[in-house]
Amino acid sequence: MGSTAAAPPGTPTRPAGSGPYFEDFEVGRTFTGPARPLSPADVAAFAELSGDRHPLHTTSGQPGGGRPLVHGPLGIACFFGWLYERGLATHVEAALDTRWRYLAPLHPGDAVRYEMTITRARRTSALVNGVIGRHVLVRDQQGVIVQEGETAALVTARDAADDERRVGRAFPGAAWARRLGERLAAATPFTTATGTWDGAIGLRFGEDVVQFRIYRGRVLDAGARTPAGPTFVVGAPDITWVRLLTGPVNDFTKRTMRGEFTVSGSAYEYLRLTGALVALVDEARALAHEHGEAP
Amino acid sequence: MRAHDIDVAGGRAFVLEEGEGTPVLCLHTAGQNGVQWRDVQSELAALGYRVVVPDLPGHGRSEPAPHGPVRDLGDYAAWCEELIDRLGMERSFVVGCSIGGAITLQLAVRRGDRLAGAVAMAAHGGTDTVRMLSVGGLERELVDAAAPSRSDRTYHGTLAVVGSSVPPERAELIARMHRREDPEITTSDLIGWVTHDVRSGLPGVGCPVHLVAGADDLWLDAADVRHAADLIPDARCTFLDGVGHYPMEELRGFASTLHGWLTDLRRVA
Repeated sequence: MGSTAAAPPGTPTRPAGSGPYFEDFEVGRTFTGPARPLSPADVAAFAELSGDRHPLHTTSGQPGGGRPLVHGPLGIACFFGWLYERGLATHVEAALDTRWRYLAPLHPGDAVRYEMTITRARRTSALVNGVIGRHVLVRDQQGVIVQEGETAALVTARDAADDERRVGRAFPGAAWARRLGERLAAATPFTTATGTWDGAIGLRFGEDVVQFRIYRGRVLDAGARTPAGPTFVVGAPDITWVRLLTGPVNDFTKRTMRGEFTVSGSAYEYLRLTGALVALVDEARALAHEHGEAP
Repeated sequence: MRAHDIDVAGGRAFVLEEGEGTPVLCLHTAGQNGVQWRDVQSELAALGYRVVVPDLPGHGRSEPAPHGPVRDLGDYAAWCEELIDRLGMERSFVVGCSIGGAITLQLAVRRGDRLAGAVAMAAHGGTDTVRMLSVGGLERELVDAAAPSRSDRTYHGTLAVVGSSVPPERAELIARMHRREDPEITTSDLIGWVTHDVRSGLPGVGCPVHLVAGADDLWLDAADVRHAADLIPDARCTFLDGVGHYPMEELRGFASTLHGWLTDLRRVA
């Protein structure tokens, strides 16, 4: 990208060496920054660089005479530029994946604002680094969400240490599932609500499912698999779980009413466990705040 | 406070009445009953109104409708018309919430020229643009064996639509009392909500109307309420910050707020 894509005036360029390590990306933490203009010259430079000189992005505009469109991937590219400019990429070792949705058009001359929320933090078995999941909202100058995505990166750790202190937000990992299972087994609202139940509750985070095998209020097992599989699975994108488990209140019911969660398997058993699921979320929220700020 | 036990539309109806002055008919939400108005009733009566609070058929202490649970809000409106006439409520105000608000709009369409005014809360006279309920889903819910944890769902579902400004202990009381429903009646009421539509009659409404919605009400799309307000000549439209689906239960001092709205409607008329 040419010099026309330079950062807005006043954006500090971070010296190498500073910047957050793996441990600093706490799940639930959100990063924002100033708006990033997307000038006609930026769009022209991106067309040249990528070779995508489609008329949609040039002066001839859209069929029907609409205004030219910014390349969707320019929104992604500028996100990574934003990360770098904000000093948030200093200890990134590799980008691992990016999933992105283009929700509304951007036009040359618009400005975008990025909001990045940490959705996952899993240390690798080597302990010297970890994988960070990031959810990204892209808003235009009117505040309309124009793009949304998730992207994971491998980030260097400050210390090659165990993450016991961070297990409360290490969902949906095995250690987190075990710890939540212990809490559920000791939580009267949960054990009472499941006191006549025999089944397995599945929670889906993005594409990953974690299960809790319940028999008459006892938690027999917690982890990625149970022999007979889940009775039902309640699922949502990572960002929804993060907002639910690290946000100010247990608004699980509101979120289900808004359609933020989907259910597969036995809808009957899911409804039957209405109270149990509210209690489960209460426990998962308490776990997420064990070493962090109060909910 | 006076209690009436009178025949309306072929069934025994329980109606509470308090105060003297301009009549106000207060209508409750789906599956609930007149107890939702208990705080408002006496305070409003003290402000110079004849406050009439019925339990709709099948709700509270009123007998079920003779032909089974009501699925047509028009039937409730006809029932209310009979009640208004039986009690001699000349030039009455009507105020209702949720299905009560929808029935209020139905009454405004059917006999607005004989009403002093209507305050329809959490209602917009027609089908929801963002559909959270469907007739098919509600029909399934009517089969008791397919509707587990109904009481818990009503409790948590109520908490979810009480506004953010309501103190937790008040929200808890509202949600606990909402557990007292008859699910068959509530679900039939909701089928009435999903299928009712009086929007074509709104431009011809013959009384002043005030539409009220809580800004925290998940059941309602604000755009639907604004659209209904646009259809009704000179309609007032108010969104209450920090309030959810049950303004008369959530807001302290709701009677004086309502008094202000009714006074305003009287000026318009």
